[in-house]
Amino acid sequence: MSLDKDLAEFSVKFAQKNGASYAEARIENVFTENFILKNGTAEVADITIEKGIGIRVLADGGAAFTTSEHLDKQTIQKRIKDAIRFAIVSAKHNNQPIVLSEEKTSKARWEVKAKKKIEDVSSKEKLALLMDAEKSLGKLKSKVPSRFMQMTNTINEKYYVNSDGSRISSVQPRVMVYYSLVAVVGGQSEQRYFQLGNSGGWEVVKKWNFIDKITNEAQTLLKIIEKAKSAPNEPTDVVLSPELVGIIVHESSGHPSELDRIFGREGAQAGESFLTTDWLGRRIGSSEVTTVDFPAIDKNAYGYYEFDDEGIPAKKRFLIKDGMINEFLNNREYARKINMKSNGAARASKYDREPLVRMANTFMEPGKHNVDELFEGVKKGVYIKSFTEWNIDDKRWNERYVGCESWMIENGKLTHLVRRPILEITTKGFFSAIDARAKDFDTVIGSCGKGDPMQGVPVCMGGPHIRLRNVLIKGG
Amino acid sequence: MKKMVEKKVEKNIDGSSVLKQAEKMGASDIVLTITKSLTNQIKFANNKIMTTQTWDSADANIFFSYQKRLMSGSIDFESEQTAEKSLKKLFDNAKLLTPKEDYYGIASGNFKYKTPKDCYDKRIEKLEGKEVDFTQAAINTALANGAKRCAGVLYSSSWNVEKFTSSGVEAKDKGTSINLSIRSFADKDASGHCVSASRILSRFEPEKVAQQAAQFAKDSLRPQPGSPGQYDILFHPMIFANLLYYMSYAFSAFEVESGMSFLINKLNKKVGNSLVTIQDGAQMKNGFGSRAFDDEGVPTKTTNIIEKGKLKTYLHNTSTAKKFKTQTTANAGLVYPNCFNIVMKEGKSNVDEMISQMKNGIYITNTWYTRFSNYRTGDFSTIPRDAMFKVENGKIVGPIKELRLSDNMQHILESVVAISKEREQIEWWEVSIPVLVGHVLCKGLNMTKSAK
Repeated sequence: MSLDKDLAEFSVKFAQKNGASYAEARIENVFTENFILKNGTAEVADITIEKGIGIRVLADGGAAFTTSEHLDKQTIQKRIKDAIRFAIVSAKHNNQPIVLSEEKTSKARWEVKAKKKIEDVSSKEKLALLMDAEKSLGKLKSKVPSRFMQMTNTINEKYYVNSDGSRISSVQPRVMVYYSLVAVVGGQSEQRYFQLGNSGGWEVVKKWNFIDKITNEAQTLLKIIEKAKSAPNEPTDVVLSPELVGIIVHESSGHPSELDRIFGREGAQAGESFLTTDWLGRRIGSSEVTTVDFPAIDKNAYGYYEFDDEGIPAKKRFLIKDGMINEFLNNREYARKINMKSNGAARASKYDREPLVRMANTFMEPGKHNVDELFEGVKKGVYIKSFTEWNIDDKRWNERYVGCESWMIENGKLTHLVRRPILEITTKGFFSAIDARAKDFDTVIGSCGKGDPMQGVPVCMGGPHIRLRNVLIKGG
Repeated sequence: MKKMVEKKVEKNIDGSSVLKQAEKMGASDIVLTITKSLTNQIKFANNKIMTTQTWDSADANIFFSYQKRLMSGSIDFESEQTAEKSLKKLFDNAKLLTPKEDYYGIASGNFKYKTPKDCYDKRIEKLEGKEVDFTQAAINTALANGAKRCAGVLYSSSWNVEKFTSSGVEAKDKGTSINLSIRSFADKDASGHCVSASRILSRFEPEKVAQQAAQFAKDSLRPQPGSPGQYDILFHPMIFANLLYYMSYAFSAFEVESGMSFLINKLNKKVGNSLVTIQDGAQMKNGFGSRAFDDEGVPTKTTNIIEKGKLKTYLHNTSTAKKFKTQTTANAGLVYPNCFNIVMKEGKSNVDEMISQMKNGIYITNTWYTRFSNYRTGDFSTIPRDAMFKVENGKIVGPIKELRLSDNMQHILESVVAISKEREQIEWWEVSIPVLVGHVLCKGLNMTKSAK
């Protein structure tokens, strides 16, 4: 695949000549392949290659984004002229022009190198990974009648140019497997779904221990059905695994820190935020809580990038520091509103979407305890290792997580499985109840949804094991 | 899954020559679909237009079977050579796959198509910026009716689709649509959200829904924290559409086969109150998802999925229908049969009558973030947003906040005691398959609340 960089350069110049005070273009080639195994049967496989350009302009203080899969100059000129016209018309209805923060320009090329390229691995081998996982379930299959696995591999090749002078080229492959399992015994059923994924080539698959993982998960579901007792229905101590910490930090620290959301831009879709700009420096949780979003944490991280989709270098962002609200995620438009520089959080899922303020790899910083010490300090409590259902309100204040593999803790020991304990709590209640963090660290991945039309972007999230004191757990 | 394949299409595409080429390679059950569309969006927040967006798309995708090995993908129509190259790549990959032994082919037949009424309006193709005026009119209406600020989107779109299959289908369809989603805020915790979705301009009502959204916002000023418990719930169409949308996965034969549907093994059994009739209305007049044919090229029709509370059918394409020893319901998805317009049959009530029946209840106007703890049982929770009101002894007593509906999908259907006569067509960010539904009253549902 080759990128028509000249067309992107042409687009920016043409937009400037035709009245745009600022213009940027992203031209991309996106390769995607999907393999599906449903209850042991290979469903349709799919391979797509998409090419397109996304162009954003500012004119008279109005903004417009246009995208085309017709990559000829004639079409692009028409699209740009229409976009500028729309930007000017919409600006007439607004009393405040859209202005971007002043930033240093960058010229760079970055790539996540694949040791074993996705395109060099045959479809047979890719499907075989799922088939091997299916085989590994062996006799368990009769009690796990629903088994769905999907592998999605992508290669995104991108060239970004803006009228300030930034030019960024990038190549990023990703490999991902999603699976869901439903175990059924005697009319009782339990479900589990999970994703494994990294930036990188086929070599990342070895790190997953996918076959062991899915087999263990199936066995655990059966144990939950056969052995789990009711969860307590009372305030108790709770230990959460990195998987739970990851989703909660993503939902309750990452999302409310998005500055476009705080300013109401996503009000009719993903919602707003309990945070306002005057929360900076205010306490949200115990001093144990430090949360971070860092795109460049690790080249193989699922949400990895070196430059965002406005050409800004990736930075480590401390969202909560020692329990205090410390920093918001922003882009150039919203950084300007609070007289700051961009911290490089503008991401677009593909050439046909505008860049929005997004998370990348979000986590809680580890502490100093051994994991065992967290349990040893609990006389009676619940350990939630994995989860199934979750949701949170659109200000990111009231949230709910339903445990999947969960255990009763008695006198520091895990004594028996408990069925679907529910942690239904406020964001401040959650962060305030944390009294200890372990020094371990792990992450899980996901696709984070935001924007209209929806943009799912690859993210990872995680942290250490943590302990909460005296929070309400609801059980059956 | 539903939209796995997208690719640009240039100039004159000769679909039949691609079919011939694929047949020559040894493929069967070939379906080639070419879609071109132009969509404009106006996005607004804090009463201002934040951006405008345009999508100029052209996709060509192909599906085929090679000895029961199923493949789909994009065809690059930049030139004959690129088309052949992309087809060959797909074919080479297909050869390496494992056969799907329970695959039974695509539809064959000389079909006649019926175009759904009021689904194309050339005036929508020529709005030329009037979308901005509609948006401004909606914002002004909301502000004049009590909103302090509002946010939302307006979309206008036009498209045409061509389909060619190796079973002789050569079909064309075209459509337009226009829709507004507007959320009004009267204060931090006081908001209302309504939508207008139409295929033709004359049925598009931006100012009407802007006024409704503002009214909800104004009426929900100073909400009190709600209490958890069992309540009679009156659902506004916005929230019941969300529940039906998330429920509709369970209608698909794909999910039944997967073991992920709460309707598995329940054909011809009672799954809801006898007031409940749910259809797929793919031929519905002005239906936001109406279309002349499904993804195999089979003419669409109206299908009763749940009739008077009894489950009558799952949704099928030709292959799943043969496996289930029944007929296709014309709901292909070549892999995943799905609804095009979810329709809940109207009842006889009006909203005032429904409220008067409620002793201890809650009126919920919208929701988001519906998630399942178990798809197979239908256990889920969803978190209401926007105006929510406590109802006591037949009267609304005031706005409330901070409650979550935590219940079960089948239990919701079984608990229906009244449905309004008036219905609304709902399609927005949280409801991506269009739903036609009225207000719905259910008895004894479970509301929960976060601990502080």
